[in-house]
Amino acid sequence: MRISEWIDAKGISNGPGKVNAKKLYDISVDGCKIKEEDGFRSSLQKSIVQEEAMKEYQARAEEKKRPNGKAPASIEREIGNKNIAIRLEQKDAVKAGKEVPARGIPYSECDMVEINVLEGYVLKAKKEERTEGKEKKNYQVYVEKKSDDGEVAAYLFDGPSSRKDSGDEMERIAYAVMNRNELKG
Amino acid sequence: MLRNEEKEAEAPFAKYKDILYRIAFSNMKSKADAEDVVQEAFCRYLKSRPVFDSENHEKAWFIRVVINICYDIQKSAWFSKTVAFDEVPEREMKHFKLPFMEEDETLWHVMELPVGYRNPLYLFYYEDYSIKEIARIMELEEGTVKTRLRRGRELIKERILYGTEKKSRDFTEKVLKEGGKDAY
Repeated sequence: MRISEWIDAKGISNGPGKVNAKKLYDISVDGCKIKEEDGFRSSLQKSIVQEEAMKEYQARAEEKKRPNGKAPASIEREIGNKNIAIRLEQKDAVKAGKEVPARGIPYSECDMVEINVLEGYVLKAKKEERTEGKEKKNYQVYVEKKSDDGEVAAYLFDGPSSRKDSGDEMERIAYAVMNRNELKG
Repeated sequence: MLRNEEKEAEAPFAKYKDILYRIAFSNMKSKADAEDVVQEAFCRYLKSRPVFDSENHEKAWFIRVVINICYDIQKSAWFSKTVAFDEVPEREMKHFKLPFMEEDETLWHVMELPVGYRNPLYLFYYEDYSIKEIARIMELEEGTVKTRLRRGRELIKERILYGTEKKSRDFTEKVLKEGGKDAY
C-alpha cells in the first residue's frame, strides 16, 4: 500500500491535523535529474582505479623502504578524461617498523613512557642493541602501544632511520628515544 | 620466633607501600588521608592474614582493600559533608610523585573524575595495569572496564573543553553506594 493510499484509507487527510504528504501524482518528473557521474558504472570504475592505485602505492613504499625512502603522499589516475587524485593518509601508510609480539614490558624497564589519556593509549619505548654481522652494532627501538579498547600492538623500529616528523606516533617515540639517549651519551 | 613473624608481616608493607599510597592519594587527594588509608589496609592484613596464591594475587588484594577503604571513607556522612573531593588541592600536589615519568597534567584531571571512572583510568594509565587485571581487582566485567575507560576519557575531554561539570557527582554517589560495583 502506498503512503498516500494508507493516509486516504485511514482518513487522516480529512482530519483536523492534515498530513503534509504529497501524493504520487503531485511529484513532477522534471525535478528528478540523474547525474551521469553518479551512475553505477562510473563509481565501479572509480573504485577499481582506487584499488589499483593503492596496490601501486604499497609496492612503491616497499621499494623505497628505508632508510631515505619516503612513501608518496598521493597518486593521480585518469578515468576517461577526468583526473582523480587519490590522497593517502599517513596512518594508512605502510608502517616503518616491523610488527612483533607484545612483550608487556613494565614502565620501570622503559626508556620513555608517553601517556595519552585523551587519545586513549600509552606508548612504551625501549632502546635495544642489535648486532649486525661482525661487531657492527646498531640500535633498534621496541615500541609498545596499549590502547583503552584492550588492544596491544608492538613494533620494532630501526633506530637511526626513524623519522621525527612521521605521522605515526610509534615511530615518533622511537625517534625521541634514539635521540634522547644519544644526547645523554 | 616473634621477630621472624614480624619481619614476615612487614615484607608486603615494604613491597607495596608506594603503589598503595599513590592509589590512596588518587582517591583521597590528601597526603594525610592517603597515609591513613594505607595504614588501615595493613591493619586489615595483619588481622586477617589471608593466604595468597601468588605475588600478583597478594598485590591485587591490597589494591582492592585500599580502594574499598577509600570508598568507605568517602561514603561517610562526615566526609561527604566536609570535604569537596572533586579537585586536588594545590598544596597537596607536591605530595604525589609518579615513578618512571615526568609530571603529567592530565593526571590531575583523572583524579577529579567520578570515583567509578577514576580508579580504572588511574590503574590503566599510571600504574600500567591491563584491562583484565583491573577487572579482577575491581570485581568488574572486562567490558565494563573498557566502557569506563572510554567514558572517563570522554569526560576529561568535556571538562577540558567546557570546564568542570557537577552532573557527574550522581555517578560518584551511585558507585559509592554500591561499593564500587558496576553502577549501570
